[in-house]
Amino acid sequence: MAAEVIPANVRASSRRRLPVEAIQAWLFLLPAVLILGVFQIFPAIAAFYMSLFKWDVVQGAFRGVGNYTDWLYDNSIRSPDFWRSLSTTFTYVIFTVPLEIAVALVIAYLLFQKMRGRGIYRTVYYLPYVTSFVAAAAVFFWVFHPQYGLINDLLGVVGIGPQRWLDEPDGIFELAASAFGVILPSWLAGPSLALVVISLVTIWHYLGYQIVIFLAGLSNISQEYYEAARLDGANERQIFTRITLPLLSPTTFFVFTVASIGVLRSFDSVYVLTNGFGGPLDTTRTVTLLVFKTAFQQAQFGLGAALAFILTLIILLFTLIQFRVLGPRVNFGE
Amino acid sequence: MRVKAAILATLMLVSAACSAAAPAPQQSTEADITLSGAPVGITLWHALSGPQQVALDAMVKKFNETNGKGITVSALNQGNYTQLYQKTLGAIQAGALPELAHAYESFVADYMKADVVVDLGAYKDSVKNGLAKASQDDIYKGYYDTNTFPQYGNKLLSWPFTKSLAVMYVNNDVLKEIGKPIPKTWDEFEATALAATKKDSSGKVTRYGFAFNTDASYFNAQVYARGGTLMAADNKTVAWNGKEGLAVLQMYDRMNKNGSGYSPKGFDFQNDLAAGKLAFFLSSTSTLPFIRDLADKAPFSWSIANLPQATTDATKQKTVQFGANVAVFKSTPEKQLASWLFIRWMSDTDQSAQFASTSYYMPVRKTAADSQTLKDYWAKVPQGKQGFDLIQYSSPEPNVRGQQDIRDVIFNMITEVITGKSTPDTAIATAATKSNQILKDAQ
Repeated sequence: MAAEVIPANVRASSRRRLPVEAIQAWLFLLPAVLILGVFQIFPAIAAFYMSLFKWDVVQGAFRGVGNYTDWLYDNSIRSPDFWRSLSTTFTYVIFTVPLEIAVALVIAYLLFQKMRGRGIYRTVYYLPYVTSFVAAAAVFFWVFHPQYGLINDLLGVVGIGPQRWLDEPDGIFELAASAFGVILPSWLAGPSLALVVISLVTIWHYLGYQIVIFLAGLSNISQEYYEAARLDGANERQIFTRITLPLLSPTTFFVFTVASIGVLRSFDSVYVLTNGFGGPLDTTRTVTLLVFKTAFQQAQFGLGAALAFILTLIILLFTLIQFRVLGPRVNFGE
Repeated sequence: MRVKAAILATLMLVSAACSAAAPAPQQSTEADITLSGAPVGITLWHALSGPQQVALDAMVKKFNETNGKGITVSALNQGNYTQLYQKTLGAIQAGALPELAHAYESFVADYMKADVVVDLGAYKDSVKNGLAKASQDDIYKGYYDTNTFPQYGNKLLSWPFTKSLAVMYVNNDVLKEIGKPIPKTWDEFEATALAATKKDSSGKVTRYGFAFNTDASYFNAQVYARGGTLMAADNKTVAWNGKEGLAVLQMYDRMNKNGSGYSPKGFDFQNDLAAGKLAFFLSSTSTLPFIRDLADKAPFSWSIANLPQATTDATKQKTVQFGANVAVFKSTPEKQLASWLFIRWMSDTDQSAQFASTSYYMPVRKTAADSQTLKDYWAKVPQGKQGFDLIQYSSPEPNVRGQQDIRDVIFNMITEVITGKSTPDTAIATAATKSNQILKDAQ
């Protein structure tokens, strides 16, 4: 008898408790679910729905994957625009991410050393990241101004002629070669000077964030490894390349992935520095800018939404490749 | 199952939001109704800021106090023109449009895709609420032309509101120094700009003749001024790729090479002209207050003139008409009529003159020139009159769908020439091909 009563009690109490707990759990989740649902999930579903239609100010005919194929190969205006912007986007990644990581790592390593005023330096390097990009862009406009800019003045001192910077559609290798009288074929021209300037400003902006992540990674490396290495007579270079770098690889991998995704989907930097045009001569028009132009300047919402989904898939694919190729090389310690 | 239901609900919501935007069918007698005097509230979305917003708010206040029909207008700034356009597109999707919106012709052409714009022709011609023939004729013909949409059955879909035109700004002091008059033809212009160019001992240009403008409107204005046209008669292909358009690019190319022209950054050309570092630039008459401010701070002599022309024949002069209009969206007959009565009032002679003198936009009526308000204003700002006198020569740019993209193509075409990436011939041929493709796609 008693043996039957007790489980019944337990069952009863668990029946009583479970809905309350579930309700509590749902209540705790509710704000996040609501915010994600309203601002992320719903718009994503709605955008996907839009991408299947000719949605030209208002909803039109069902096109299936027509908007997607227009971008990929089917439309003589859209498709070249897409492939060019994709190439610009990846060029932007290549000229931003590796340099950003290298500089961040070096600065983080220096800031990790015991030195006077370390806190101040760390704050100073973090400042650009908390600065509004729009405000910073206004300053960079002046720094890179073709007639009155600071950089051109400095170059003038060392005898280099003024550059057009953000207005320069010519490739950097093309410009450099022409300074020596060499004319490069167009496929060797490199990214436009304007895109390189945008890369530099992007690096400037995100450096502080990467440094903080690297500092956290550095402080996670046990001091015992360093002590042991020093006892064995390793020099500083060996300590950096044999201990710091391998043990920091999870952090580097994280920073690399996050930075790549960040640049692939970045919009504000290019938009602000080119006044929304992606100029000069479309040499800085990334895929995100093309999405914006298509949807919000040409009112072709279906095509814009389709392009946004193509970009999402490309980012997903790119990240998967990163995991496949670089993941096995990461030293997770254990 | 639940996920499916959620997706289905979402899709239904999306399509519901869209069908909500579809308007009720219009009745033919809507323009002739009478307002009962019961309160009617209408909202105007606009892109005016600073002193121009102050000027509009003052007009709205006056209308609200004096209309005697219970109409209350609320004028709300929605950011710049691009933001206004984007918000209006959003409002179409959400079915939450204001009654009136400030809009460029290309915006109206897009809004009309959703069939939400009221045909103002019936209101203009309404015996009860419209304008008499003489009053209609007092409004410049070009202002009707630009608001009449060939791809939508030649309906009058918007009404002139904040009008301006492309003109040439001149630093008179520079011309005086080199002893030349304001150029009347393009050959004179090019020679004067070169004569105005000054270089220092190192070869650096310290004063330019002309500031290149990569904006499509000024290319279009120059094509007009050289006697060309912008669109083929059937509106299916562009026509600016003829000899006039090529001449514009060839002039840019020459001026770029001889150093008399330069590409200013942003609005630098305004400061450069005021500082005596530049002789000419092309801009809208609405740039006037900015130059006036600069001249107040550091006085210099300047004027507004028509662009140099192909001929000196006054009847053949031409430039581009600019400026935004106002469109009325379909709502209730009362609100539509109230909206019309407001814009009709705004374009009456007195209000047109008043608004022109406070906002620096051009009056929409010829008789506004006779008003004391404008005479007083022109006595203080003679350049305002110089601009006004040119309205008669101004013609609108094309308002077909696709025009917005063609503007980008023209912008890139000019950039290619002045950065030396392309020759004028190649650039214009490529740009025309691309533009014609855009026009084909937009149909």
